[in-house]
Amino acid sequence: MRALGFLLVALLLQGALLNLSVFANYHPDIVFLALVYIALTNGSIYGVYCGFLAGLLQDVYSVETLGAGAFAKSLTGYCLGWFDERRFKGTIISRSALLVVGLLIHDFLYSLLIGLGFLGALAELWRSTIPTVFLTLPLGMMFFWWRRTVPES
Amino acid sequence: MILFELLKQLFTRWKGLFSLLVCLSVSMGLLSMDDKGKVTFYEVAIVTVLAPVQSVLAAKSRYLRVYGDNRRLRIENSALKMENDLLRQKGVQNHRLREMLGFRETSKYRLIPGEIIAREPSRFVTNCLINLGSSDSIDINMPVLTSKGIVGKTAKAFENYSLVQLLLDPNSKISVMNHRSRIVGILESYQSGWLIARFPAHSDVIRGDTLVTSGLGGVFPKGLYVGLVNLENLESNDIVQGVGVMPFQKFQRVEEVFVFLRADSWVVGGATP
Repeated sequence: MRALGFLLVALLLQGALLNLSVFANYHPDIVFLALVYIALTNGSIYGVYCGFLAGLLQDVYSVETLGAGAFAKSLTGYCLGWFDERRFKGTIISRSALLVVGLLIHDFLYSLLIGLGFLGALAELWRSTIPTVFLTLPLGMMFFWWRRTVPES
Repeated sequence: MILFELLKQLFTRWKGLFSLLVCLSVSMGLLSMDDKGKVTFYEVAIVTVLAPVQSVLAAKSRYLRVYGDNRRLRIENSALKMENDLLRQKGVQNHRLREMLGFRETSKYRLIPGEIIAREPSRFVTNCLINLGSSDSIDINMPVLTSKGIVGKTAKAFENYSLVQLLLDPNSKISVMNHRSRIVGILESYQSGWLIARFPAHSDVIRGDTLVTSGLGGVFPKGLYVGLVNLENLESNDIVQGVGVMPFQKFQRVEEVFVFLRADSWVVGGATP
């Protein structure tokens, strides 16, 4: 339930951020940051279900790509859960690295699923994902430093 | 019974993988659903759950802005009243002159004001939800705009809400015209966050030109402001010339909109869309 509440707060914050242009048209991906944290602290099952829910809620408003976000976030959440910090000790650096890699893989997969093709997906990584990483990473590092102790499950 | 126990053990041991397979299967099912299924899903998800929640959240922030908005609108109202009186006089004169020249009377446009109550909560904002629906005479393919310019068109109309497809949607393509040179082109989304207008190669389109709707296509009437050309030769080749377009209305800052009720006289040639 705590993970779900966490995710819903992230979704609300992401929606609120859309009215503020942080840098041109780019915003940090707070929802993905929440998903990384949930997967790392609770494991693959939480990661896959929270990823599915987050992706679906984001897909709902999109006329043509319903299901693409849910697919990409489920898979990414499951894979991030392999690095469950109840088994492996995580640091701020390792969490941040997983955030960056997860974001790249998620966005590449999402671009493929919405039909951009391999080259289009790579171009989208360069045009959209890299700036988002630069905005999300500092926020993520601050958050991971604040939550540096893994809560007891 | 043995089979049940075996399945139970397998599930317990591999529940992560089972969960993943279930979620991926459902996602692929949604992705491959036909339009009718998606409409049903939207109606259930948006109308019954998301729209009421987000409209409540949007209402709270609106109340906080009301004082400043009220003051600004009073001043704007006074200026608009004076301008309106002047334009009304010119309208009467225009009508008289047109009658003298034998021109046909054009249809009267009807605008319905509405508010954006929900936005797509992802990085790629292509749609939003407004508080007008079929109960307000809203139908699909109606232009949505603000005083600055167009923002999109209605894509789905429910009872009390409508889904608006913004110009940033990759599937959005509208016919536009260079206000100065009168050359017609197509405006579409470019790499999920920008707009590009494509004209025939070597067209007279330069940076700083204003683009308006051309009236072709049967959705947008002629003459609505779209945006400003801010970049020349974007993805240009021997056949097509692309230019970057900065919309007059910033999509992240839209709060109140108007929906045009469609009239048949918009379509060039008189054909009904």
